[in-house]
Amino acid sequence: MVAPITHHTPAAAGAKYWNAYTETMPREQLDALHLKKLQLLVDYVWHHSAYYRRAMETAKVTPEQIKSLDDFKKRIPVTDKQDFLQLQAERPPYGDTLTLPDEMIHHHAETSGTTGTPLGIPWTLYDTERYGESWTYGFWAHGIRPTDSFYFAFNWGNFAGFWSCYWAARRFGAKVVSGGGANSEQHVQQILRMKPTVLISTPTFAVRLAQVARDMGEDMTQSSIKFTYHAGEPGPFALPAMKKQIDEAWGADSGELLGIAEIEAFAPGCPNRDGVHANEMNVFTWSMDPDTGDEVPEGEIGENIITSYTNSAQPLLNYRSHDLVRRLKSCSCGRTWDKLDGVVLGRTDFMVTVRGTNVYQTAVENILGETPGVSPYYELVLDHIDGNDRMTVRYEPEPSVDAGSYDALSKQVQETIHKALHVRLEMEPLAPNSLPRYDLKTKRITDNRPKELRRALDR
Amino acid sequence: MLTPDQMIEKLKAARALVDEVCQGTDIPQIQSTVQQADMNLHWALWNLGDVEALRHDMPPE
Repeated sequence: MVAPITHHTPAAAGAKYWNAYTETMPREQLDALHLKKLQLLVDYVWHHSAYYRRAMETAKVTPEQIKSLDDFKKRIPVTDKQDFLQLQAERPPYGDTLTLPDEMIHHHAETSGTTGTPLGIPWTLYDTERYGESWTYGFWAHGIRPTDSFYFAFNWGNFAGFWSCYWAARRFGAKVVSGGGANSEQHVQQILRMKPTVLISTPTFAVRLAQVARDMGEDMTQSSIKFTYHAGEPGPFALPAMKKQIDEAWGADSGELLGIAEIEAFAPGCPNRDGVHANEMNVFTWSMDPDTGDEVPEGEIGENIITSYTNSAQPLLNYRSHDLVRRLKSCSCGRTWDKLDGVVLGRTDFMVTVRGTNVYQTAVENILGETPGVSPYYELVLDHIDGNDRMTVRYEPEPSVDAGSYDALSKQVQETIHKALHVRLEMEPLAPNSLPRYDLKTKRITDNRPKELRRALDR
Repeated sequence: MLTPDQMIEKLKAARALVDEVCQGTDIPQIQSTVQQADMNLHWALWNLGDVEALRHDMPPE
């Protein structure tokens, strides 16, 4: 008998980690590696990027001056999406941000455009391999194996996020079933016909698909799906209520990855299912106070600042994510990579202070998700009235809730939020099915505040 | 099982062999294929903490 062809040897197939050597590397060793990579990267952009040469000369810093991680954090200019958007608008498609000739670009992708004009993202072939790799750490830790098959419940546009998941499945060696061009009912039919074991979608779309299936008379807990894996918006590791909803709707284990389209899928899910870990082979991250620019200590909330080692065509150094995170330096799962506890807690540009209390988006979402009678369809509206920020929760009660009970339900949610967050938010119940449904990113926040009244760094 | 250092040694030897073929062939198909092999070998080294250049096609520092 000839030995069967398999993905891995028995020793590798039984491994707890995708790469135990680096995922559990001691901090001192990780930091030494970071310094070496950052020095290579700074030297690379100095010699190959007109944009970074200009920015570094303006900041009066040269590659030789980066001798420590602190030097990098403090001396290399902080960059922002707006800078790149402006350069791309002035000289399409990429401005003077490219570090490689255009002929080396393998894949043009874009950000989702949820918050405005999409940013163009050029990737080399190698970049796509490395971007995809970030997902695979999360897949393996979650119990997904190359013998699983992936169903992609989205349409294939230019959005980088789910293309990167395709690169991951290819890197992983797993089977891919594309849902491109299908509507929700067709997604359900294809899942039932092709029997994939992993569903890839935004978290809210997973909830919606299960509902569509129920409307078709199908129970997806009885389907072939064993795992669901999500990105693009706060998901099961950020919102315990979302985790419960998805797990119950699909009878599967939901997972989550935090990515930023123009950076990469930089933070695969923690096996404890309560946060994500920065992939420290691919990125260097630290937390910054968005008002002062100073580093925020471990355990405190700050803006995640990211440098990627893997975008070799359009490098991003000390890049502002605008995501507010709580960084931990250890985790009971055994990974030594920085943990972002609860994934993203809010956005610097959407954080509001109501009567002196900071209100984080995910804190409100968690309460909504855990309140019986409140459906997964809601939005948070920010206004500035009489000198104060105000947040209104516009939500759809579950269709089973009688309209006569809406006021009581609103009062109950308002009290729960008040008790947990010490702030009273306005509640506005809406008729079922009145809010839009999305298959990519759900728009949860509408910010009506004048720009000059938002936090200074986010105008 | 091999130690990380042993893996690194063998991967570097493999890159040297691959480079010989890459430089010594005028068949585009073979050159493209071994270039991608080199890319993956560079990636394996990177993920064992052996970092000498950001990309496989750049000279080591």
